[in-house]
Amino acid sequence: MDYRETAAVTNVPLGTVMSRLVRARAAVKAEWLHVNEGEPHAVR
Amino acid sequence: MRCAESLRVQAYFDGELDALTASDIERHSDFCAECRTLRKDLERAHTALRQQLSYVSTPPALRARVMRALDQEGTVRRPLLNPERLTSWRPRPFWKGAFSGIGGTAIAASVAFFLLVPGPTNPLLDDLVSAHVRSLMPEHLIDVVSTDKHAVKPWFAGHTDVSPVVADFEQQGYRLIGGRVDYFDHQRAAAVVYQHGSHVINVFSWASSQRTVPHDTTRNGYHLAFWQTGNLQYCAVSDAGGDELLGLVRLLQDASTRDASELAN
Repeated sequence: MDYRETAAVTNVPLGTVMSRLVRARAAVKAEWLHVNEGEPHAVR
Repeated sequence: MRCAESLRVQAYFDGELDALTASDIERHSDFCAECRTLRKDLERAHTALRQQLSYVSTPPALRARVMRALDQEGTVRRPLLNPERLTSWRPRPFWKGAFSGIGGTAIAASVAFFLLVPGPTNPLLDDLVSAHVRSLMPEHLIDVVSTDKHAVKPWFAGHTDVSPVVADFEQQGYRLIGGRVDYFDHQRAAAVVYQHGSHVINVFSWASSQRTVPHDTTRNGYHLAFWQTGNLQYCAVSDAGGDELLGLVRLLQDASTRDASELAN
């Protein structure tokens, strides 16, 4: 799904999709580091 | 503090930007260390997730639940048959059925004729439109980013089989933004890229032994304008208006004439 489809399905503005995606990626990265390298959780 | 362009950098990575914005972001990343790091970070994460996470199939129970939900949705939305229509059905006379059959066959034959009989095609036109559309995808527009004709023109010398006319016409509304190599007609053709308002104009050039050039035309909504200088054929392609495209063509033709007269002197 592209950004526009995601915005339509979730009924939120395009900018919100983009900023949530940034946060989601940061969360995945933090979890990844936590699991693989034992770094502390830094998910906000 | 996060760079204000970080969201657009992410969109660039996800292939969500149009060609012009993608080109802006590429230029921005050249001097913004933070955005360069972000791009590398996104690429690393993407590669790591693809390589190190195992593929998980959908559990059969979840698949069954989804399919049941879809079935139920289909049942709810399907229009119910009218019981009256079912009970009031009467056989139609034979001639009605025969004529409707003939009519249906004629319609089907007409549709098949228009769909299956190919129209006159020119593979060169298809190649040019495909090359233009491909160039509009992220990271495909420009190989050499420059508004300086003295940087773009020499670049072609080492990368393509031709040396096209290159000039910047920013004052006239056609900004030179770079150049690119494309391959068609069995050679490395040059594409000079201009920005006109929000439109991208690709000016393709290639060597041709043919003396005739195709007529200006429109394909898939894109205008194509052709001309020839010496044995170089040119084609400008864009979704800009036909008159706007011809404005650039005239400027380029004048520039070719000036170049030729300078050489003669």
